[in-house]
Amino acid sequence: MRFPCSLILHAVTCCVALMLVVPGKAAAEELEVSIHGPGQQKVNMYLAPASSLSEENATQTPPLAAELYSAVEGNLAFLPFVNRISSEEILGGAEVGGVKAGDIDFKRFAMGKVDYLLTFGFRRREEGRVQAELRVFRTRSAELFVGRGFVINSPKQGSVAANRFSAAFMEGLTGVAGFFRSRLAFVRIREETRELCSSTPQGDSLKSHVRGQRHIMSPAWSWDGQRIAYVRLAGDRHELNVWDEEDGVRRMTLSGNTIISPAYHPDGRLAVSADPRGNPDIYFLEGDKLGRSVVQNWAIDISPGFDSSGRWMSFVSSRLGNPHIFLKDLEKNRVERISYEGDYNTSAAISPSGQYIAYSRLTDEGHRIFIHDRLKDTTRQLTHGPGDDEDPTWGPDEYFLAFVSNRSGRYRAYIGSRHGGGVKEVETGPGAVKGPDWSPELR
Amino acid sequence: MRVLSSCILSLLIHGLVFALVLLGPFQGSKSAIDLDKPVYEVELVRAPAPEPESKPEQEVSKGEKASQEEPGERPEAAKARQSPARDSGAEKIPRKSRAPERERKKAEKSADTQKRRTREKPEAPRTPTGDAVLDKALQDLQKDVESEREQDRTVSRELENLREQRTAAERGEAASAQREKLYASLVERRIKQNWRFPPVGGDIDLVAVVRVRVEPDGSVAEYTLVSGSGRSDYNDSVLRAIEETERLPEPPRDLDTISITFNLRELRR
Repeated sequence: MRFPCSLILHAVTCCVALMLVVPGKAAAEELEVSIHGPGQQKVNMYLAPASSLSEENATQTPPLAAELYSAVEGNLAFLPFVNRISSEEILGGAEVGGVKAGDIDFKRFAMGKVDYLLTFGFRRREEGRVQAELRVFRTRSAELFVGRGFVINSPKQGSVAANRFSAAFMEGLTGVAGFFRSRLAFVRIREETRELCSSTPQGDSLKSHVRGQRHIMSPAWSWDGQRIAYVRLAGDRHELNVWDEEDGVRRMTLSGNTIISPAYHPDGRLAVSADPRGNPDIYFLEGDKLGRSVVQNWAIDISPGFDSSGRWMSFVSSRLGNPHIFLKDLEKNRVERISYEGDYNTSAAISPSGQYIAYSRLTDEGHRIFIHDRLKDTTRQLTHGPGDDEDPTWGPDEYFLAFVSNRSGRYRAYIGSRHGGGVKEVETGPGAVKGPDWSPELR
Repeated sequence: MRVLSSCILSLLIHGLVFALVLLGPFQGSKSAIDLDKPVYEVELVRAPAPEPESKPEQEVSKGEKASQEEPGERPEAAKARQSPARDSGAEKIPRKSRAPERERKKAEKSADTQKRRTREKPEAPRTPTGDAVLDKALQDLQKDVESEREQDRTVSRELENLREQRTAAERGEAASAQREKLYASLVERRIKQNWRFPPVGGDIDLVAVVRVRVEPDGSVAEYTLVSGSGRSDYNDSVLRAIEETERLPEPPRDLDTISITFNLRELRR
């Protein structure tokens, strides 16, 4: 009769013991791993040589096709996130066998860690025209990523074609393409001549809009890309000018002697820093006259800049003694301080989204570009010279910035990413460059 | 007939005693099943500490001596005269409640005497069968109690062993979790360095999940895109990162599947 009792007791003991000793072991068999952000922000790309789409003339590349190919190469070199792979790095050779997917052995390129493969095909057309086909494939999936075809009959058309193709590739890769759909305005100084110029960010299609002996400064694009406002020194006072491609130049004489740093609000209004009361404050224009003040202070307030929503305005003010960067919420009429370090912070430039504010700070080594991230509330140094780095301006994609630097001995325009890499000089011809301003995306 | 009635009575008493023994532990069964606590029910029937056996015998012998001490007495007569002592023992049964242990001893002695008598005179008509059965039941009960106590000690030892095993298992689990955490970090680093993807504008965030099966030597045996990002080039990039990694560090034992979530955004930048 005792047996069942002890048996039950033992059974219960064993069950309890098993529950205690073996707690949910099965859950540990699948491991969860999270990776935040790629280890490399560059993709590998191989550019196959140009090849003829027709059998005849296969050995000679027409000059127009060669220039287009060269322009594409140059454009891709501006993208810091594209790492060009040479043919020597591809085991088994880099021969593609054709320009279409069916002609290409993608495995060789995938093995060589090539992410994207570009093919370029051309065909001579009548009257000196050239048909060009540009394709980019993803080597892993052997899928077409971007493909464009053009018929060109001039180098200018070739440049436009190269930009369009590059914009499509960049948009596919990053979701934004403003770099190849925008222009850079700047003042070029050659001996006694001052020019208001614009070019592509790569330095192509250079145009001189205004030329003269007088000082011109602070060009600023309108948000529709149709006008450029700038300041011209007329005698002993400043004059506000607006260049328009259709209407030419419109001159405005405002009250006060100092008119500096004009900037367009997204709604089309023009803001300037003027000193009708003796010290520079920031005003919106009403017609050709100064309207209500946006920032009025006993100190110097200059360099207004707006984000694409028009709510936020960055500016420079000496209200605390030294020039510092500030941000004004135009809806709530509140001002917040952005820069806290350094004794001389100038040239504020707010990014289109309003998240970033770039500016120039005088350091012991010279002027350097700094970026303040409003979302993360962090500030970091972007450039490190040598020389002075000044006048930052944001590209429409908010990935690139342009600035001027005298690192080569005279002031030239440079372009780099907001992460600090891939700085390249913009080829703008002879002369120094000052006061660059990047246009919005142009369609 | 008398034998039959004695047997029935004996069975009834046995049944009653065993029923008490069986049901006893289940009264207030919760405390009885609580294996973390010692079982104390046995205290109710704990056997007394051994007393000097001469004492009760002395009591009996005193009485006997007082009334029956005759030299040269025959053993048969002595045996015959033991019956009053046995009777007196029966009379003392009510005292059991006052001194149960002493009574039990007496009962045991009576039972022994009865056994001897039964062996010597199995047909003795005056044998008190109920007492013998009760004595035997008490002896059995004592054995049962001893056995139960031994079982309790065994169970306690087993529980102690199991607790020690559990502690060791918990320590092992903590070490195992630490190993897995370290391994996850190694996997993250190994794959991340092979993951290439350009910076994307705006606030776009992309997430893809790949399940990887690894061999014991760390080589990637199989991988599947479990959840795509919606962008084929992004999905391509994470799969390529796995392909180019080829081999991971040797996984901890029992680990053969890794679920890797690729987030485009850095945690801190």
